Amino acid sequence: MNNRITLSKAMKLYNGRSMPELILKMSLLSMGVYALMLAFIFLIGLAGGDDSVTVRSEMAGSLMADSFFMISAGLINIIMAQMTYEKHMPGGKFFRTVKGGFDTYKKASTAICISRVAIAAIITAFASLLHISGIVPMKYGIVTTVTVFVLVLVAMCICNFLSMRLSSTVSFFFALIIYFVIGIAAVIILEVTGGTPGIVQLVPAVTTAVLLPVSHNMLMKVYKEKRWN
Amino acid sequence: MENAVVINGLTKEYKDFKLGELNTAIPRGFATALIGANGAGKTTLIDILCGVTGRTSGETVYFGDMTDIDSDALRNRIGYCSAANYFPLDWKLTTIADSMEIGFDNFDRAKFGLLCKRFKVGEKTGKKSKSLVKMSDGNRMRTYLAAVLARDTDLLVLDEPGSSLDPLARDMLCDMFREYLSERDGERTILFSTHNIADMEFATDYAIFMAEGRIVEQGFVEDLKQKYILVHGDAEYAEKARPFMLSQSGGRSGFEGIALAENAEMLSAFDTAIETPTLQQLSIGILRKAEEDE
Repeated sequence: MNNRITLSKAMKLYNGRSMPELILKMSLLSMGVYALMLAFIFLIGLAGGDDSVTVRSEMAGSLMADSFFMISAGLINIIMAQMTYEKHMPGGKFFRTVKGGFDTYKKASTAICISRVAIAAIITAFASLLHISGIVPMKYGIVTTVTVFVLVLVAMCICNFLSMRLSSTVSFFFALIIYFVIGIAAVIILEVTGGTPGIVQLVPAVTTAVLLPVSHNMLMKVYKEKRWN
Repeated sequence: MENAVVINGLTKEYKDFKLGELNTAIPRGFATALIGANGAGKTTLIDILCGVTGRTSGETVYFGDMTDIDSDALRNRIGYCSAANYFPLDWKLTTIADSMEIGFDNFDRAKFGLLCKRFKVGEKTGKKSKSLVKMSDGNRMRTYLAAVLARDTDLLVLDEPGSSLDPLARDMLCDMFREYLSERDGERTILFSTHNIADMEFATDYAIFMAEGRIVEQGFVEDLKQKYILVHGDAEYAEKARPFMLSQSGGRSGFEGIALAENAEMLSAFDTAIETPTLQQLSIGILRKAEEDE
């Protein structure tokens, strides 16, 4: 076991960016995507002749802001899921010869996994703050942000399990489907429960807290056995 | 003579290709060329030697007593560069230096900068530093070589280093091979693969010829040039000379080919001209013979 390379350094070795740098950049991108989508709809509303108060109240009464948040959180998460380092891809052979070998790869992958969770948490906090401050009200407010955050983690777990059996290309297409289905599930959950928090959020939250590290470790083990060499 | 690498019974099996069983050694202190056609197994062998690909069976001993390619001590002593896409294409020179610094204990950032200048691929800290994706194939390979040569290693393993370089850069590469070998007299070793040896002949001391996953010939270039001869003759003697030739080609005007030096006397009876072959001519002759035998 090579202990000299930290998670952040392993990520810098693999990505050219340290963990804090990547989290910051991708969080800003995620928040930027969310803000752009909101601004676009807001401007369309204004162009339609409505005043800003009306546009905001219409947004608050619909799932528009909630949906945009889902897209922003899911999109960045799925983009980061593509940070794989197969041997045939550029850099793939270089990474197999560096200090620590597979251990360094595992650290870089773990750093990416942690970063994905952190970025999802940051965009969740950002959307929650916009809602609480009244700048961008959501139909179901904090319940939406928490539900989406939990379901993004569920999607990460499912994708981890799928990646154990599928190639990176096939996994990507399945991941798109999974994130889409999870998005639909989020809307159904929110509409059915009327935005009331409960067991529907609690059970997946507790489950993913356990399953995410477990599935990641299992994925690493399978990767080492089947694909590393 | 000491060996940098000793390969014992090495095999690698894929669905449609089998490498080996290989038994050979890479002599220490020299530049060894792995010569073979596309698909001969050169890259697979190099990848196994550098820990990029696992082996099916066999053993490799490095520097006399090291066998675990996954150990950092051994990895640090080997400078490896793949034939293409060694680094992610969105990386710039600064990114490469940052990554190499973390990935290897013996990477010299300042030397990398100097080598980049020498290879004319830019200033590593300059604002105009281009990402690899915007570079030509040749400049990408120059950058990869600068990165690998900036490490203080004992064994340099390069997969097709000359294939994307222009003649001037290939000549510079040959000079750098010589510098690398002479820096620690007799201690450093180079192994590189090529399917076009003509431009790298000057830099080659030892040659290993591969075909269909097997080693078909190997030896010091000077010894091989004594073992084989290049034969030219008139077309009318082509058929008579054929039994004494290893490989032969020709047309109406005459024939040319490689033969064992021990057959020189027999062949001279057919009014042939005998010369010492170049490594390129040897390669063609030996690989053609291997192809015919398959």
